[in-house]
Amino acid sequence: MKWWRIKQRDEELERELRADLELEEEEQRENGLSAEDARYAARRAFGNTALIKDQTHEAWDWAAFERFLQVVRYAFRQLRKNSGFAAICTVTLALGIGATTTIFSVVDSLLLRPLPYPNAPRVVRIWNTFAPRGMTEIPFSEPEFNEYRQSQSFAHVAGFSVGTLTLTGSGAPLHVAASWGTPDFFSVMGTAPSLGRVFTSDEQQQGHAQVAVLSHRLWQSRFASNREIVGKPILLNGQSCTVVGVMPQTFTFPNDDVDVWQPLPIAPASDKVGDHYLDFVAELKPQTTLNQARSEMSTILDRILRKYPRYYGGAAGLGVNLISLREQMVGNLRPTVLVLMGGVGFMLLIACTNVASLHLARGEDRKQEIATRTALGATRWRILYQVLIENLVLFLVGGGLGLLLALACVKWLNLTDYLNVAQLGGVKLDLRVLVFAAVVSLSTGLLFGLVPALKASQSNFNDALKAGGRDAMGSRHRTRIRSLLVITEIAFSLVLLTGAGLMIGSLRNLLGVNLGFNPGNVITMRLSLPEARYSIVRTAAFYHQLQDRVRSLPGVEAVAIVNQLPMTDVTANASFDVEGRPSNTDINVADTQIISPDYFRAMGILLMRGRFLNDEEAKLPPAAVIVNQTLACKVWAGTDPIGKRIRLGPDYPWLAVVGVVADIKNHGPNVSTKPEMYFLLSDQPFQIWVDLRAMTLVVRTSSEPEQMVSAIRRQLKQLDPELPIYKVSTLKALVSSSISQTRFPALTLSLFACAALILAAIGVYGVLAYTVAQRRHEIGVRMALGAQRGQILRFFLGRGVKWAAFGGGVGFMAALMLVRFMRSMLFQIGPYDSKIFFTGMAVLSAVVLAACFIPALRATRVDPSAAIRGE
Amino acid sequence: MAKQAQQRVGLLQGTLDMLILRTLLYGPAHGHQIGKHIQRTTNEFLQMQHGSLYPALHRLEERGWVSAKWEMASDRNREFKYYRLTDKGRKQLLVEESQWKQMSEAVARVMWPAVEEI
Repeated sequence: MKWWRIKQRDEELERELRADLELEEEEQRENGLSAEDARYAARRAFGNTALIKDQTHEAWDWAAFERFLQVVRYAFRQLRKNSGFAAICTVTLALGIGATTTIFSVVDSLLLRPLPYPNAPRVVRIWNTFAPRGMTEIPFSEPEFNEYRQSQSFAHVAGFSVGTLTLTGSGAPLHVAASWGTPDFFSVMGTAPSLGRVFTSDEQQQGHAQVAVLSHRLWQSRFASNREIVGKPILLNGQSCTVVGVMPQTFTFPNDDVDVWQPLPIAPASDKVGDHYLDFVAELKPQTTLNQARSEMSTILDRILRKYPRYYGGAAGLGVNLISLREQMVGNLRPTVLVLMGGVGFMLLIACTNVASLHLARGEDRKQEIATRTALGATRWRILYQVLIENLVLFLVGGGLGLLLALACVKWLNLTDYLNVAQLGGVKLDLRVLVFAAVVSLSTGLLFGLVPALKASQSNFNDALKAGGRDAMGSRHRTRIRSLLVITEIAFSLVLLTGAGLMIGSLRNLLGVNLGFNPGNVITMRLSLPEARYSIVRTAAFYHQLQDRVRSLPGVEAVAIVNQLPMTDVTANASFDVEGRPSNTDINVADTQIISPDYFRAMGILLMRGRFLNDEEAKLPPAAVIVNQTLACKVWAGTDPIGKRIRLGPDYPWLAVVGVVADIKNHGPNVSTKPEMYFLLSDQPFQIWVDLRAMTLVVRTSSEPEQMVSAIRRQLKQLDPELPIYKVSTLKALVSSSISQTRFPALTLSLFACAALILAAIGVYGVLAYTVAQRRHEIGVRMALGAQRGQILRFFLGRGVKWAAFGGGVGFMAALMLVRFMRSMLFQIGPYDSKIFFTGMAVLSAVVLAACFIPALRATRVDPSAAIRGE
Repeated sequence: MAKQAQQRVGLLQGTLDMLILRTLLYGPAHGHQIGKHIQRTTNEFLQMQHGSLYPALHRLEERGWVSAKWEMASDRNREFKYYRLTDKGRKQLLVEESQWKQMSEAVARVMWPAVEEI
């Protein structure tokens, strides 16, 4: 039977039945019955023709499909008829499923999706640790690398460093991030180049001609995806360098910015034991566990300590740690993401609860319809099937909309930026997320659709028909289920409200932090002077010229140069000696900032004592230093630090403290200020481990700072047309991005909480409105017997109060149990902050009561005579 | 009441198919005739329920054991849907008949055992 012939087949069956029925009728007449009696007798003999038709359909192969179509059509008709109900359900579900899917896509990208490297599960990062200073990620030196590479736990061990290069030649000079790796660098990750090859062992030797591997991005943007590039020379930092390969798009190690990889030759006899610049990455052998590798590394560390006793002499507490690649990348995001997943899970539950209670209410209304259908011969299974399909249609439409919502969220919210996960391939919706959305909507649909369906099919249709749709006694059982659902919703909402409140509190605290500088109206940009053309002397001269030129631009208030901007990556620090005290390098450690004299004015940092540095001093050998308050208090507590002297080590000159400046939040608003030393960017600098060719220009303007960018670019171009500038950003934007890890969950949880409140309000309103409608008759009787309107109002509002109290109580307990998981995300606020808990309760109670008020008021307007008379 | 008791006698699954096929062995017939015939032949013991007759007819047609055609009735001036046994249906009837025979013999052996077998 072809399904498209069903219509024709149907007509034929109709005709056949009619013909046979008429024949029966004729025969009955011939037996002597009157025309009318004969017709009835024939109909009696035939029975339920609609049922016969249905059952005959079953005999056709396509019956199941046809029935399905019919049920779906009927479901849509039902939903169209109850468009209000359908709209609320769909929107509720779309919100719940959309939010869940969005957050799941984040969880998927961060925690579930495999990293795009073949060896990823076995790749670990290795770090030196130094417990006395709480340092956990110290890079290695070359001699250490030569020892650790002999480890038996690893298939490959590689050291690498990152930096920048200037790519010249065709087109404008381009500043590119680069990474230098030891021979096993590419073998560790196991990724093969998409074009050409990686480095041969010859190319890894010192003195070999320069070679480079390009990133997919650079190959596309700069070399127009030209496959011929392999084997051709390019100019890196003014040096010719042969391209040997191109990596695939997925290869973003060590980070997403890197566009060029070059070999890092390390001499086996290297003795630069103090140069800690190598990051380690290694591939565990298949059978080796992380712990086995850890213990082997400790053994090697002991060997190193014995081998270089002079260097490591005072370093008790030095250790070595292994951490898996994924943990290294997402470890600090894990709690945030899991809390968000929990939050969104609660929201989905609220959405489903809402839909379930709507369904229950609607199930009551449909009792009569279902009873009629049962009386007309619909089997219990058929009705169950019908209700189930209706639910699935609802949930699938809701799920589809939710998926669209999730797509929009992922696209427009720029989650990748918020969460800083570009190197994991970014947040995207893939098949797994689709499957997740489908499973969520189907399973919620089945679960929350099946209960009302079962209830509906169980009801005794005789009673329902007789009752005429009015449940005279208002069944207690069902009322209790509805109350339970509402209470659940309220409890879930309170949990979400509390979570959101804590995040908002943290965000407010973060925004309220005194940064110590004024981020308004400051534009910053990174410079990178190629070593080949810029000697130390020329570098200093260039900075002078640049500052003079920019200072003369209209609208510029102050110009300065600094090696590391606050909020970015302040990593340079050094230990120092204090004059007249024994050397104590474990305690005296400070961040080192190299600045031009105007830095404090450009940043808006206050001078607390003494004076700023000046241009005259920059021309002389270094003799002065400025420290921050934290350092002053720590080293010279109670005495005047001005005039006291410090030095970076026995080989360095003594520097006199000439000024003390206010503390600033160098590492972000949520990190307490560390001791800090400001050295002058001088014409005759002493050797400290700071690359003076990679500095940041800081310009304070009198108006919108972005408008100055092109003018500054022009000045730079006149000075050196080959010089790229990059990371152009206002200071405000840098501050703002530094708190994104708090702002994102705060924003998201607040949205969830708002949605939850709205959903809970809808739920409360719906259930109470339904109860009032159901009990109209009873209200009428009560009023007729003398109940006052006030009493009626109090009665129904009292129900709201009861719900709020129960729901609030349960939610309070749940929140108490759950907020501790948020501890690591909070800033200057405890997880059990009573103010936030009670504010949440108050807001929730207000919303619940407001939602109750309208139906309660409606109850008081019931006209007793109409209610008692009318059905 | 008696009538209701009769109606409750359910036909074994597939038995109705066999009865229909056997009825059609006499020649083509329409649904009403088939139903009436089975009812009459069983002395009204098997009340034909239309709810099972028509689905059964359509099932047989679907399987190709009977063919159907709208034809003018000889005694009435109207068209009816006449069912006719096909060759395939004839073979099927033989199969079902032998199966039914085996079945009833097996049942009979259990229900009314022959003396020598006790």
